[in-house]
Amino acid sequence: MKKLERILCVDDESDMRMLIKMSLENVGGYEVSVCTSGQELLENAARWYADLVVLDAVMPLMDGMETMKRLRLLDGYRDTPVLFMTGKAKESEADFKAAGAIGIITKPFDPIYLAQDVQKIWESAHNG
Amino acid sequence: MDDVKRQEFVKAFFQLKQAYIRRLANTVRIIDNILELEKTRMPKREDVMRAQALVHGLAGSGTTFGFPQITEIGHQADYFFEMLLREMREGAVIDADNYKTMQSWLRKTQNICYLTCHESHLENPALANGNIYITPGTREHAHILVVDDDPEVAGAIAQALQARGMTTQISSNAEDGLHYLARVQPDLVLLDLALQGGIDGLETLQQIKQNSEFVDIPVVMLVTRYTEDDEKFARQAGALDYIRKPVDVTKLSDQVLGIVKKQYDKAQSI
Repeated sequence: MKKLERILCVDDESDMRMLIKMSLENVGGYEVSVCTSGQELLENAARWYADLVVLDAVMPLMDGMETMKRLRLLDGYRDTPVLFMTGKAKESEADFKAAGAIGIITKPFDPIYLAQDVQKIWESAHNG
Repeated sequence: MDDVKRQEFVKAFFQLKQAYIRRLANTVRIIDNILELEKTRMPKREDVMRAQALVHGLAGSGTTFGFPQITEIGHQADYFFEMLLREMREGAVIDADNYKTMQSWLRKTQNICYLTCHESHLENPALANGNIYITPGTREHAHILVVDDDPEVAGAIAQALQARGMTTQISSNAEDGLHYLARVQPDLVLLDLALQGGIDGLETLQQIKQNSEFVDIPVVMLVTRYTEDDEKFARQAGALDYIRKPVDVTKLSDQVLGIVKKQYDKAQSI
């Protein structure tokens, strides 16, 4: 199984952005780059290659689903695993998986267990 | 995680929690502004969408920062807005009954935010001022974002501001401007009212003033043709001032300098 090392994330809220970075870097030991919008993530993805992309589902201007669609068109990102973070009951995990995501993290999350949950989803996607 | 790492984590988490409480304090003000603004104009579908974005953001993070009551009210209000939006066609105006319910959800959310700030002994936002943005401006060299789709006008304004020691960033549309604001906090935004295509100037103004992270950035509107209603609405929506085009760039620079210095003095006196 490929080891999970680099994670590219996007969240439009600055406190959540910092918290995600802190949780994944300090607790999980991953290398993490965080972006403020879908547009910025697409710009950064080309320069900073990631093993996993974590998308906030609800964002103004470009939402998570749209960001994933555009990400798939970038060189090297056709099959990169994508994980959604969502606080919305509107879309179920099945909808995100049908769109090609490997899983979802439900918001609000516990910052101490975020890295562990991400690792679990990564492993089950690679084993299953 | 070893003990040292855990302690560092807890310390950093507490700082973020302070920033989050500031977001709650700003939300209290934003909801006041929304309700005040709606006295002038009944909310349209896009107004409801902005309100939903506000409560949805709260729902997604409350429990994470130790405030499950915020998540609970955020979820309930989010659900109401979600159902309401399903009924509303594009451009539709809210009906009187739903408007009352919308007001009531916003007030309930506001109360819970207020109580949470109060109980955290951080009801004064200045105490929770954890700045996590790039802030390139200083009192003497302010940083100004110019959002105008006419490159000649934007260029002339930027040049005049730079001649007075300020630094500038030009965005030719609202999306780019909002994208820039998500990373960098300027001292002031000059915003064209009549942005073509995409999001217009008034909508951009509302997106800035109804976002807890941007709400304190002063916005000055640039207008070519204007109506008194537009001016009144823009002021109620949070615009600090209104400048008519064609602009006298020298006067404009003086005005911008004056506003920015006042802001810095105010911040120092808190």
